[in-house]
Amino acid sequence: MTASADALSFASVAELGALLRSGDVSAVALAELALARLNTVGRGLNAVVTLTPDTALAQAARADAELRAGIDRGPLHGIPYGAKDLLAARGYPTSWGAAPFRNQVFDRDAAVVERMAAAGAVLTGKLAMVELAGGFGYEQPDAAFTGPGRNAWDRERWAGGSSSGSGAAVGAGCVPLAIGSETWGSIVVPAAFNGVTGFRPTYGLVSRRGAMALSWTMDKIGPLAHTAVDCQIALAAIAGPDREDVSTLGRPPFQPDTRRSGFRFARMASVESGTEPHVAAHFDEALQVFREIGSIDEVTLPDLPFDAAATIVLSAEAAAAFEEFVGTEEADGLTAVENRVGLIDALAIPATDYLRALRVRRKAMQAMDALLQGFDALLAPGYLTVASGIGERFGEEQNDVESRTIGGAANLCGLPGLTLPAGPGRDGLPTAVGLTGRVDADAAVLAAGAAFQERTSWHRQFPPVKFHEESADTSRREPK
Amino acid sequence: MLADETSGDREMAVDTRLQLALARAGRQLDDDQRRIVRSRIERQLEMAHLVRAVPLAHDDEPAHEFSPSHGLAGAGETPRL
Repeated sequence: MTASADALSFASVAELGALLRSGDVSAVALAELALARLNTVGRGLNAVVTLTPDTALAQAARADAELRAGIDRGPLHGIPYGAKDLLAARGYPTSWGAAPFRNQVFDRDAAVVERMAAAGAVLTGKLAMVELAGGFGYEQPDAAFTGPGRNAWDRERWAGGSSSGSGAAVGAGCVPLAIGSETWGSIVVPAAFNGVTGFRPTYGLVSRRGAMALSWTMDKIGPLAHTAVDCQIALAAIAGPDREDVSTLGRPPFQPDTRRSGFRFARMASVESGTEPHVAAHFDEALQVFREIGSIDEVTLPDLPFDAAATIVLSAEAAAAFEEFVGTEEADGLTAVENRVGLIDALAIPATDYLRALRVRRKAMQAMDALLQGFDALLAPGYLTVASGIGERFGEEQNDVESRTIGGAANLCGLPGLTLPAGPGRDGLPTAVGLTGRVDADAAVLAAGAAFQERTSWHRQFPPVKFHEESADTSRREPK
Repeated sequence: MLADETSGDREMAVDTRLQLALARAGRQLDDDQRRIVRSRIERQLEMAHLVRAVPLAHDDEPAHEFSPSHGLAGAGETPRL
């Protein structure tokens, strides 16, 4: 291995692929580095549930042997990654982040884990998450049996949830790529808080077979990485129909959009009200960059109760999915006290309320599609604040923030979303810009993100995380 | 207008849902836990109120997908977990 460990730790998938093919690094060396960093830095951030060294080293050795034999499975060949611990990996515990399920083992890989293996990727660990994907109403970060998810930029800040470990592990340079999931905010918030790029695909684009179900009609699986191009690479590997997940769409294989200019963007001024000043300033700077690659028109969000409908749909489906667990003594084993009575309230949601929310959802889908027609993406701050404190309760303010973002609308309607780093805000913590596209506009959204990142360097700034120690050095390092 | 949309019946609606929820959960809660559940039910009712304010036609269908073909052999034959 000729490249330094620091440079390799923060290199992109595309950069690592080039090093693998030139023979400057081996897949086994990358796997060993990722395992070591997950075990030290990652565990220090409470980002790891289970390391998978046997699988990792076997997959990496095979990747090296195949490359030597001239077999190349594509851009993920030999690349280490981590999977959120709601994805089954045969033979390893799949805890769903929750103590009552910490010894749960499945005998088959999740579809996404299978597809990553087929693409030559190397599974190095199962990453921490908010217990039961946050569906039980947690009100503060200490809601996982692995401890509160700590931020890659500041251990005293929250990593976001529920894909806490996926965001922190990529942000801290433990793995170049992680697979997370989102029902409502669980990819985009950890991506924003940890200064990484996160992508939430169109609902149904990626199979959820072998994933914990929280909300059958809202759950999505997607990648977190350093760049939009890396997310695109991962999506190409994991997207596609699956006869065993009837929610998957019968779309042709994912094709990247190669445009880097000529985009049409929309923005909503009302969404930005209440943003932190640093976040607002960086969003304005980001808009200047987006103007270099396309036009921006102002639009108004339809007047519909997106968040209310999403709350009812999510709560009712989660209560049904966990009906045998909700309110039981087993639930007392959950970490967050408030989660131990989670979803009891949702057991009393009338079917008529649920169905009315689904009827309003159709209106919402039609209204959002009409709004976004002719646009490649809707631009908004990725999140309205920087990461909150590790011991801070969310409270009313957090709910208010949620109500001023388009996360409810986007997740209710199954729309793709991309979060991009946008520069340091308060206390040097990352801010982010978010793109939301129409259904099936995944490729266009990722292309716009790639074009943005060709003109900016925020995604190339990394936190001062050292291998074995917390460094006092606050300078940022660029990969060589 | 539904009973739990009127301010006078709101407390009754919350209490009714709370009793139903506790009966379905089948366990006793301490005061703090009851307070948490009650507050969440109040929020659920607020959300339901907002959703009920959207005008719907009689034939506006819910956005959930049902396809008879999903029952065919090989389609979703293995549960997700």
